[in-house]
Amino acid sequence: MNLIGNAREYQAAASESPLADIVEHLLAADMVQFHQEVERALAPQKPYMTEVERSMFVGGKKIRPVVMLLAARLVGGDDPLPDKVYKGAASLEMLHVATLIHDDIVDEAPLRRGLPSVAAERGTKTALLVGDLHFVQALRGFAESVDTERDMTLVRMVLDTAFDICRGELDELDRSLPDTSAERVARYYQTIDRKTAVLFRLACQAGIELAGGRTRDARRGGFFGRALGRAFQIMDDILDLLEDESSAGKHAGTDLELGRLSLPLAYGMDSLGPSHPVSQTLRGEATLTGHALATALDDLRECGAIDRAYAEARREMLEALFYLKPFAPSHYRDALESLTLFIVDRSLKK
Amino acid sequence: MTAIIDFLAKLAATNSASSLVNTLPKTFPLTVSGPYPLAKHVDIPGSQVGGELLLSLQQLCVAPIAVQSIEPDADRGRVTITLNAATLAGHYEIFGLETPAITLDTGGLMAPLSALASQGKDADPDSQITDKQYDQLQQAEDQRTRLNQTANGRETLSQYDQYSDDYTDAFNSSPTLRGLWAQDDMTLQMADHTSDAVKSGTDVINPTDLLFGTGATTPKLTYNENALSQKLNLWTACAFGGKPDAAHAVTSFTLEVTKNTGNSQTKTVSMTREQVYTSVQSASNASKAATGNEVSLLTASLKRALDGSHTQADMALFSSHGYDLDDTTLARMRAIRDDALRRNDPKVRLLLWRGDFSVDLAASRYVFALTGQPDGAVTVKAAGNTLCVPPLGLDDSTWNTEAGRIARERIDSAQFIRGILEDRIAAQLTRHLRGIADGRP
Repeated sequence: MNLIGNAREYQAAASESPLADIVEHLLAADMVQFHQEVERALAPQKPYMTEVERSMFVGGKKIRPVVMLLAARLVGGDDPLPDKVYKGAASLEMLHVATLIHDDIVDEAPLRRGLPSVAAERGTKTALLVGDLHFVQALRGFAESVDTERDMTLVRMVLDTAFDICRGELDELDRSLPDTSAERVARYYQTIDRKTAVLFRLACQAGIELAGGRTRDARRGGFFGRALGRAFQIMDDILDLLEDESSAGKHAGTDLELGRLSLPLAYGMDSLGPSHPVSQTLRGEATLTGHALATALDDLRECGAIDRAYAEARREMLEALFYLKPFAPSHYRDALESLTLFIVDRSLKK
Repeated sequence: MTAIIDFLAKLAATNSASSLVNTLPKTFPLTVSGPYPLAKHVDIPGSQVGGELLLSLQQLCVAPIAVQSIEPDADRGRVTITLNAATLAGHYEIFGLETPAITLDTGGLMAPLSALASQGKDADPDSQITDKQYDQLQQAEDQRTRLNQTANGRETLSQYDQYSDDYTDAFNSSPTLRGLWAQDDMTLQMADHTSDAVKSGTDVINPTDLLFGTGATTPKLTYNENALSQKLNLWTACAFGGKPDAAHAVTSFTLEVTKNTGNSQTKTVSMTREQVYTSVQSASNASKAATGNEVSLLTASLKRALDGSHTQADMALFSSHGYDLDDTTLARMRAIRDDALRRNDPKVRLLLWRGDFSVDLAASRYVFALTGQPDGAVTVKAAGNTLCVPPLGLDDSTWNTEAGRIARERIDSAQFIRGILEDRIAAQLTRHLRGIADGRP
C-alpha cells in the first residue's frame, strides 16, 4: 500500500474535482478495503436484496465514508488503519443508504440517482423492511467495531445518531410552520442537524476515535463534521431550487412543490411576504406546480433568498475550516479542506 | 402543437411589436448579489478586533442585450435563442463585519490556538502539542476511561456530553467568556496543577495555600474560587444565550459537588484524586434529585442579582450555597450577559476595498422546452444554456495584507457565485419569454 506515492499523485491532481481525486488517489487503497467491508456487511442480507438495492451501494459519491477515512488519517497519518475503521465506514454507508430508502418512501420518489427507487421497484412494504434491515445491520456493524472500553462511548454516539436521524425524518414530515422567521430558521437547523449533519459528525468523530485518536481531537473533528454537514445540506437545498436534473428524476423546486421548509424558502418567506404563493404553499394553503412553480422560483431568485442561504452555507464552510485548522498539516487535512471548499464553490449545473 | 407554432411565429416575427427582438430589453439589471462570507476572521486595518470578511456585488447590469438568432423546433417543442456577446458590469465591495477572533481551541483542547502551531507537511499529529500537553491529554483519556467504569462516572460524562455543544457555542459566542477563561493563565495553571496532583495520587487537587494566575490583570485566586467563578461565567453565557437546559446543568452540577464534597466558591474541602473518585461513586440519587428545586430558586436569584434587583433573601441563598457574588464577579457576569443579548445585533461594517468591474460575456445559447396546454396557453421552461460568466477580474492591485490574499484566493475559486449570476441572467430571458407566452407586452 503506497500511501506516500498516492499522496503525491493527489497533490498533482488536486486542482480537479476533489472527491474523485481523493477516492482514486489519496484513499485508493482505503477504498478497496472499505468496499470489501461493505460486501462483508451486506452478506447476511443478500437473500433479501435485489439489484436495485445493490446498485445503491455501488453508486453514489461515498462522501460520508470518504470523510470518515480522511478523519481517521488526520490522526493515523500514513500508518495502516485498524480494521474497525473500515467496518465503521461500511456501517456508516449502510446507515446512509437506509435513510435514502426511507426518504424515497416518504417522498414517493420514483427514481434515485437515475434508477428506480427501492420503493418504486419493490413496493413500499418491502422497501420499508429493507431499509430497516440496513439500519439494524449498520448498528450491528458499529457494535462489532467496538473492542476497547473507549469505543463504548462511540456505540452510544452511534445510537444517538440513529435516533436523531429518525427524529430528523419525522421533523421533515411535520408541515406545521412556526410563526416567526427566527423560529422557522431554528426549526430548519434542528431538522438538518438531525437528518444530515449528524451523520457527517459521526463520520468524523468515529473516524478519529476508531483510529485511536484522543477524545478532544474526536470532539473537534465532530464539530468539523457538523459544520461540513450543514454546509452540504444547505447547498443541497439551494440546488433543489436552481438545478433541474430530469435524468435523475428531480426537477427544480421539488422542496417547494412538497411544501418542505428549507433555508432559502424560509428566507423567501421573509422577503416575499405572507401573501406570496411561496408563503402560502409552505403554510399548506396552496400547491405550486408547472408555470406557477416556475414563476415562484424566479421570485425566489430575485428577492435575495438564495443569496442569504448561500451566505449561510459559506459561513458553515468557514466554521468547518476553523475546526479543521488545529489538526496537524497533512495531505489528509488538505483533502478535507478541498472537499469543504468544493461543497460551496462548485459550479452550478445548467 | 398549434399553440406552440403560433408562439414560435410570434417570437420570431420581425415586424411584430410583440416579437422577441422588439420586446427584449436592452439591458438585464440584476439585484444585489451577496454579501458572501470569504473568511471567518481577518485583521482589518482601522479595527482593533478585526472581523469577518465579505464580498458584495452591486449595481449589476448586463448590456447590450440583443438577439443573434432564434431557432424554432416545433416538432420537438423547443426553441433555441442565441444572444450576442455582452458585458456584465457592476460595483464590488470587500468589507469586514467587526467581531473578535476566537483564539481558543473551543472545539477541542480549550487551549490557545497559537499553541497548536503548524509544522510543515505530513507532520506527526503529536508534534502539534508540547510533551506536557501530550501527557495531560493521555492522562485525561485515562481518567475518562476510569470514570466510564462506574454508573455515576458514566452519568457525569454523559451529562457533560449532553451539553458540550452548548458549552462550545457559549465560548464561541462570547468574547468576554473566552477572555475570562484565558485571563492571566489562571485556568491553564490550574490544569497543570490538576494534572500533577492526579499523577501523584496523594497531592491535594484543590489546595487553599496555592493561588493561580499571573496577577497581571486580576488578583490571583484559589482553585475553588476560580473553578466556581468560571462556572458562574458559563452559567451566565448559557442562561442568556438561549440555552436554559445547559445553564441548569451547570448549576445542578455545582450544587451536587457542594452537597457531596462540601466544596464551594467560598469553602474548600481539600481532596486528592482518590477522594474525588470516591465522591463521584458515592453520590446518591437522593442528593441529585434534591437539587432540582434548588436550581430553579438559585437561577431566579442569580438573574435578580444581575438586574440589580436582588434581595437580602437572595444574598442569604448565595451565601448558603457558597457563592461569592462580589462586585467584580457581578460585573463579569453582566458583561457575559451583554455579549449574549447583543449576539444578533448588527456588527460594525468596515470597508476595505471597493471598485467597479466589468467582464465580457461571449455570445450564449439558451434552450427552452415548450409545452402546449389544453386551454391554448404555452408554458416555457428553461432547458439549459451556454452562458459562462468568467472570473470577475476585480482590480486587486490595492488588496494588500492577509485579508487581501484571502479575498483574492476565495473570490478566484468561487465558481458558485458566478453560477448564481449566470442563473440570474438566464432567468431574465426565461421570464421575458414567459411574458410573451402569457401575452404580456
